[in-house]
Amino acid sequence: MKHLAKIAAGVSAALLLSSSVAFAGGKAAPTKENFEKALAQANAALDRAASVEGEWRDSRWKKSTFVKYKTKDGKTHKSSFLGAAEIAAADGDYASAMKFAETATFQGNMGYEQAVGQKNIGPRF
Amino acid sequence: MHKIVKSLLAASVAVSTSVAVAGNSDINNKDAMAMQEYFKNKLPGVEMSSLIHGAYALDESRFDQFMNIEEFPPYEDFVAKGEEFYNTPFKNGKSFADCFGDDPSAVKAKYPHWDSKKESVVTLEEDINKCLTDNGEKALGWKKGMMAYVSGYLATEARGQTINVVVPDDPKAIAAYEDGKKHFYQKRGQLNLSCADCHVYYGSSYVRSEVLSPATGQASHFPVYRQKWANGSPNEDGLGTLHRRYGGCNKQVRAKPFKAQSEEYKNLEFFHTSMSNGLEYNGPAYRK
Repeated sequence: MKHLAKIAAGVSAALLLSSSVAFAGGKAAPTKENFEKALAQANAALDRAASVEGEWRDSRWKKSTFVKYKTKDGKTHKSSFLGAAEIAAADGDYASAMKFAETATFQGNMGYEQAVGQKNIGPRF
Repeated sequence: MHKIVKSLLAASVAVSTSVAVAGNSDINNKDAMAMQEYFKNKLPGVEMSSLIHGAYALDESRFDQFMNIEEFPPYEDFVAKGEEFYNTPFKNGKSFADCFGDDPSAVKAKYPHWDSKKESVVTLEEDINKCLTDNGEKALGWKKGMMAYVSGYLATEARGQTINVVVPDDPKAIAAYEDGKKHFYQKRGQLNLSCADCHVYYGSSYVRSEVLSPATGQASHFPVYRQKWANGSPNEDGLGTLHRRYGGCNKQVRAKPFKAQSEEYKNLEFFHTSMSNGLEYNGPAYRK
């Protein structure tokens, strides 16, 4: 009986721990501070992709018009994901800003893996 | 067709023999022959020499329409402006002839080439701007406008000459060539497509209503007059350089383009033009 109680206590502790980890590891709150972290993370990922010539068009290229974002004044802006993140943040919409920055980070990581994965590529004939 | 392939093979062997004597690498001729053999098998009945006309070489009706347009080429006025600019002396009294020599028909075929002193590939457009700035003139933009006109004039003068890009037997020149080759075969951008995906493995296939041109022969007709570019220009100026097109291709696969005349595009031009070795220059030419 004592043995079972010990197991139950252990399981409860594990569940408690895992739920708190999940909470801590979940989506960061849409604040200015968290946005700046996400922006720095995105730039780091894109710098890494650029270092192997693997940057994608719409991640942060200034001439990109792929992402459309409407600010509170009703104006629609066309830019890259990182550009849209900065526009949204300046408009106080940190939730959208962080989402755009996360997409840019994802694209940076994918661009890096794409380029590195094919460094020895050649003709298939 | 077999006669042309045989003559191309013979020409290539002749080139490679002379190249070997001159201390040049034969790496690009081997690659060019392999690609031309690939297209020979992929496109039975199509003469390799006709690939300088791109996708128009693959369909009789399209070719007829293309030839009709070429009877009164829409780029003619722009090329005439380029000729005038080329022959106008600089403020210091010198001219392009002082940089390139007296025969304008002998200029285009020298590019791209490896410069062992600069340890870099040198393009025609790069030397046009070098000539201007060395003589106290303002440099031109790289992708369109007067740069494309002058380049177009020199391309017209070189029509009918054989493309023969040489890669010297120099590890740095070979590395630049290999870098360009890697760029060509490497998938890039969000669409995960390489130059080779569209213009080798799917060269001659349809993308919606358009036919993808084979890579062999592509570099023969630059600068090119694209109707798409003309449509976006107030004076219907559709003339653009090869690097302008490279940037457009990269953008289409959603990759961040490199700058015109960047090392990446110069190396790509070194490889890409080599793939047309043995074919004729026929630039500028009309494209949709």
